[in-house]
Amino acid sequence: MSEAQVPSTSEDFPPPILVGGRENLGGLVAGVLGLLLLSVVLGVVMPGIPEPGNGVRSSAIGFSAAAQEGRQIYLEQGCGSCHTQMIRNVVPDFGLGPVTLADTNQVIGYRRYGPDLAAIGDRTTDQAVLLGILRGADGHPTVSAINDDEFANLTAYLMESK
Amino acid sequence: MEAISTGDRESTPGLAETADGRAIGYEGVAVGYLFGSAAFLAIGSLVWLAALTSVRFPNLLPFSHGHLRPIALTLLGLGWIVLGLSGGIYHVLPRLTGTPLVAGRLAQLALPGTVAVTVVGTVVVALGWGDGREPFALPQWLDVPAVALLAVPALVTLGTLRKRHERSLYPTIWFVVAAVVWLPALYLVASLPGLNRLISTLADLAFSYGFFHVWGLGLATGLAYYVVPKAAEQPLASRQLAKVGFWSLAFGAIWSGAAQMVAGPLPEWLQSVAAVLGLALPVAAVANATNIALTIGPRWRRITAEPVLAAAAAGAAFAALATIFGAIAGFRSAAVIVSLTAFWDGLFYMTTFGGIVLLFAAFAWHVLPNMVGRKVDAGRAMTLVRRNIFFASMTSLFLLVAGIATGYGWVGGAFTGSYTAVGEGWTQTSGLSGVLFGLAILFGVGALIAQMGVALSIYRVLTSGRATVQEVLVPGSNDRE
Ligand code: HEC
Repeated sequence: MSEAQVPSTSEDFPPPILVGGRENLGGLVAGVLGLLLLSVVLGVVMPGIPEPGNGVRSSAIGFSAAAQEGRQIYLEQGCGSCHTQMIRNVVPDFGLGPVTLADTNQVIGYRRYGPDLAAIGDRTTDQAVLLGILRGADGHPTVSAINDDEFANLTAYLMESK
Repeated sequence: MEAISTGDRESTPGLAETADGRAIGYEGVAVGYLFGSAAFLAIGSLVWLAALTSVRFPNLLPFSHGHLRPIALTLLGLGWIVLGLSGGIYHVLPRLTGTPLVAGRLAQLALPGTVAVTVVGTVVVALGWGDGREPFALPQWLDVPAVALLAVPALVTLGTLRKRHERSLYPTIWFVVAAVVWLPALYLVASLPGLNRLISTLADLAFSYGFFHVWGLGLATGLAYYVVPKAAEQPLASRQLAKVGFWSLAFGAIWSGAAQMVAGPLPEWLQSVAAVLGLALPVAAVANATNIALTIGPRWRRITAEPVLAAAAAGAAFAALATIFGAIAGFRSAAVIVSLTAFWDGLFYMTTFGGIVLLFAAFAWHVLPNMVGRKVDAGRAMTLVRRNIFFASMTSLFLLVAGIATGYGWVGGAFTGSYTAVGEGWTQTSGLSGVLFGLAILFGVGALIAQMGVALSIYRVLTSGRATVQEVLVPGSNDRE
């Protein structure tokens, strides 16, 4: 370190080892901010600009009011930690349903520990079956903290997800 | 001399002196943060293991993975990593700038504030009132105080740097500046209301990875740049390498997020851009690990007796390994197999419980004795380093392999049509990947004990350990005011 860090009685102390360099604080801050901005623009803003969908599954096909409530519950219960609603244009997702597009209004999710639910409404049309799963059938994690109305909304969201 | 707690007295002239001659500035702040964070490391590690368990055994625990996951991430992220590394910042800033903390009182107040947001956040998410968005799932009304609190390190850091007496900027400062600027800004972006579903997911992923890479790994590495030269009594091997390590880190930080969505609803160009820019991350981590290894230099021969150096070296190596795997997983051919699987939880495990825990331990073990005046038991610390290395490696390894097995299972399932009836994903928790996942949890128990040991070792400095020389910041003669 420069003179500011040099100990006063040099015999008592080892020589300084954390030697800094002449650096411009403003330049550092500007560089850091610049890279942040670049990352956000390139990684979040630009890819998020909606493209015209193909009308198969898009926000143009709205959810009913109940299903929108249900989507909120789906988020609050953290279903997206285990389920995606994102069918990709790749072999592993073949046969799941129509590919998810950029204007999706479903919950994309973060992990796929359970099946993809983008087209669950195509597979499962029986509300009782869905309720069974959510109440722990097949060893599925039980959803217990919500009331009957909320269960109805959640299953509406699932059944309209197609 | 003992490996750890060299108790090196160092004088940092330039500290302002109060009217009655006290010259401490806000030394206690850093200690408070470090002690606070250790508790969250212990609890967060426990809940993260519970979260992993809840994937494999969904109804074993009263909470589902959908809640345990964000709760664990909040405890680890906001509780341990933000507090612990803020403590690091508040410790090194006065020493590297020759200036007492500016707005130290604010830093003091932010500690209980952050603890409160963390605790309230976990309760709220457990009750099902979270917003389900990674990493923390905090509802909007908690995002506001969270952003305000996360802005405090930025205010303190930039304020202190503006008044600094030491003109040169040591590399640790670079990492600190990047971390404090990125953290609140990215959090703000990710919590803006009214984003559409795609942007909000991209923003969540950008925040999650930006946070764990720039604040978590980056800052922990920056702090290693502070303690390794001191513990090894060697100057930093290379400023150039540190520069590469620093700028590449900021370049590559967020792109692992896009890797989750490769072949999903992303423009084609972004998938290439993300894969290529993502390569900067392993470049950074390898540069930093090399630099740390070179700085340790002749001390390598005695590394098994020097827990600070051993922990720093191992932590940096974990970081390098995890970022290399992460970059590979960002390319399309790999991403279609491992995205969305346990593979990425394996990488998270390696980064957090391999990399950040060990780098944090290295820092705490070196600075706490100087601050509170008691030694860390070197033998015990070394055992913790060994255990952490072994169990974190095994746990991440099995998660990585479980993810790969799942990915290939999906491909197979798609060809036979066996998954179309139920959707895919079954193989994550059954069959081969189920077994591998179970093994990961088993080794995770050993890892948890080691993580708890690190947390405990921090408190032990208070209660036991032989006395050592305390570091005292003395008022300098070159004060401007
Ligand atoms: C621990 C992770 C996990 C969480 C959290 C979770 N699920 Fe599941 N889910 C699974 C797994 C694994 C399966 C497949 C096996 C089974 O049914 O148990 C599944 C299956 C399903 C199915 C049947 C899929 C099909 O194709 O037939 C539905 C519907 C479902 N989950 C809905 C939900 C909802 C809604 C939530 C949020 C309340 C949720 N899940 C939370 C793991 C999870």
